[in-house]
Amino acid sequence: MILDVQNLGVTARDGSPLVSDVSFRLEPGERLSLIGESGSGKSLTSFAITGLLPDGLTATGSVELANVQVVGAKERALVPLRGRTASTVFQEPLTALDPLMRLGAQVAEPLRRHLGLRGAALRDAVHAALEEVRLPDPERIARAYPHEISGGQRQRVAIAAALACRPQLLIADEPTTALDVTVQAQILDLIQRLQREFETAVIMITHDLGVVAELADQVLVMYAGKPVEVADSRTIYYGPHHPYTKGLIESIPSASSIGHQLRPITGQPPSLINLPRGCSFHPRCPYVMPQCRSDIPPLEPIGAAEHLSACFLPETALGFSEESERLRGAAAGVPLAGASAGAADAETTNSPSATGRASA
Amino acid sequence: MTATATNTEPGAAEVAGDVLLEVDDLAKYFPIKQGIIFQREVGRVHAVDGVSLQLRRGETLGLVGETGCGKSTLARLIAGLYPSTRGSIRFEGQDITNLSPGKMRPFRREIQMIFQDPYGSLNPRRRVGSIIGDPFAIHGVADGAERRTKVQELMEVVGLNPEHFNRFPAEFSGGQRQRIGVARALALRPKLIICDEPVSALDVSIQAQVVNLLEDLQREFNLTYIFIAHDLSIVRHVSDRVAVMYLGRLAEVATAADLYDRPRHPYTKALLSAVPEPDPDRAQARQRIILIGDVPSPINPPAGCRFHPRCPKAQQDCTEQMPELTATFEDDPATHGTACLHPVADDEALTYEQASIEQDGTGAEVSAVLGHGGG
Repeated sequence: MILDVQNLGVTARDGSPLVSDVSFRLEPGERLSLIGESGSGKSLTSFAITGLLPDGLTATGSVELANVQVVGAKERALVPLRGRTASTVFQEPLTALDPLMRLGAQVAEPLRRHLGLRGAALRDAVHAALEEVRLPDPERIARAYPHEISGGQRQRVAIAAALACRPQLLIADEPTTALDVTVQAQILDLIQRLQREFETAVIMITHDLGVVAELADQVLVMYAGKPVEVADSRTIYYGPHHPYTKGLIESIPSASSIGHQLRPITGQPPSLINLPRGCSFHPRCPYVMPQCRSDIPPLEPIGAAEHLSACFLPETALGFSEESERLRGAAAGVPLAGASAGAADAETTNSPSATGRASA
Repeated sequence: MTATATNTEPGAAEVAGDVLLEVDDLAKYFPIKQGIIFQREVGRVHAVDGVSLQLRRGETLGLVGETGCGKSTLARLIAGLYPSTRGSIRFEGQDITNLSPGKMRPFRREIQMIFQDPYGSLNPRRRVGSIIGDPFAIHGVADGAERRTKVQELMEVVGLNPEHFNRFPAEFSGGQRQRIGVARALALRPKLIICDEPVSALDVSIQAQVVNLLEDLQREFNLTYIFIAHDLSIVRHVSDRVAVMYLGRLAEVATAADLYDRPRHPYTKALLSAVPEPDPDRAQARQRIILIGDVPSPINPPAGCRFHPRCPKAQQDCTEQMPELTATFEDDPATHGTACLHPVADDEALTYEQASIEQDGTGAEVSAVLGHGGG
């Protein structure tokens, strides 16, 4: 096992929890996607895994990265891990790369530090790393500065630097969000090829469900700092249990949505400082039940052992059965179609009044 | 160049009254200057280079393409924010190309824009009511209490709480800010709204809310949209017709269904195949055409077809001849224009082996990349 995360939490200086209860394990060559909207805590989770949390934030729980406990570890103990055991590729390659340093020197850094390469051996290793990500003319790229190459090329350089020392774990934090679809396809293809070739475990952090479908074996859906559903990607797409997951999938346009209104999730994500009581999703949930407003649903197995969901709804509630239609009507008091029409005004009011309306 | 697909359409004359906007051979070159005191032009960025299209009243035209293909420049040319280098823009039959600011003024009421970044396009130091009221002030439409009533009406129309008119943009979420941008664009009841990546900066669940709002407003106020986005699935959802741009020129224009189901231009086909499929089974099954390299520089665009250095089907003639937008297959409707000498037939698989000229990139290894998605 390369990574074992148990009850990972991140708290702010005043003790308020920003992320809580994140648990998962990753074997070599496995791919996990963390999905969620902005502010759902997916990036904080990834920072906590490599001990890169910003000042003032503390991690709790346990993160074992290649049998080293990261939570509470001293900086000195973590440095040998970063870039060697686990590497991160960030969303915006222009800010991840140093604008005043030649690209070759940036790729060389982990090779020099971790593998002790110097001189001609180092130069060859840099060129090999750049070639591996299929950059044309590695020697020219190595001499260039970040502004001299395109965004897609920059992301390739960042990946080259991240993979130079053959880490066992690659954390990709929205690696293609800033890129065009054609370049995105190139980069995803590259990550998959390298992942297969070197048995690298990959954590893909994204809000793009299309990327998840292409790349993930396991999916962890986060909402308001907590995992709400964990399953393999086919289950997430074809048989989600949590209404938030279902809402996310339904709100993307697809071939079947043409000519119809989209079905957005009403309202907006809650502020982490002022979470609603009970289930954090209940003010936006079309299936809300009285219990949801008072109790926090635990993340529990649903049917198959590998499928976890934090929702009080019965197992098959979101299936396309008559039972679920009946349940939906009874639980929410409003059918889903009405929910999408009410999207606009639900967003303008803040969550307490939205709650009031739902319960009325 | 004037032979746009829509011109040759049967019955074009009858619907002519319904044409809201006509763009003919429009071009914009940005000069590149060098020198400290005596600036001389050393080159030109061919941002938009000979685009012709028609827009009918009430329709939504999607505009897609990669970064730097000129879609935003085209939008700004139509909105009159840049003077054009060549070509003409006709709005409701009147030529509005490069009008003086005074003469342009009445048309500015008719053509409005919604911008991508709801954080950058709203002045953070002004109250929302005054931001939305700006168009009224500029065009002297309403004053004082009347303006305030109108602003509050608008806020209600776009789904904002009218009581919040005294707040600052920072007090709103991203989705709500985009609603403020929509309200401002809607203020003077324009006929054409150009949406430049209106939902790209928003979260998935909020995107759908704004898309639905735009569609509702279109029905209510009979609006015509030009909808620019790089998310091709959203473009398909909102658009009646879609135009694909590559390096300043139109590669393909067709109804949304035709374009997505039967792409003719190899670039369109590659672009569509690159979109991640939010469905694991289909993602596994589909063939992905990975394009070689990056978009060439618009300072010195390739001769002939602009796409030929990256095209899996490029032949010798592609490097010499610049293809025009025409219907390329017999059973294609006249509305389906493709600027390609060797268009893609239904169910034709694209491979780089078909290319008879050398492709850019890093040589043989890369040109063999024809990946299966997922797998």
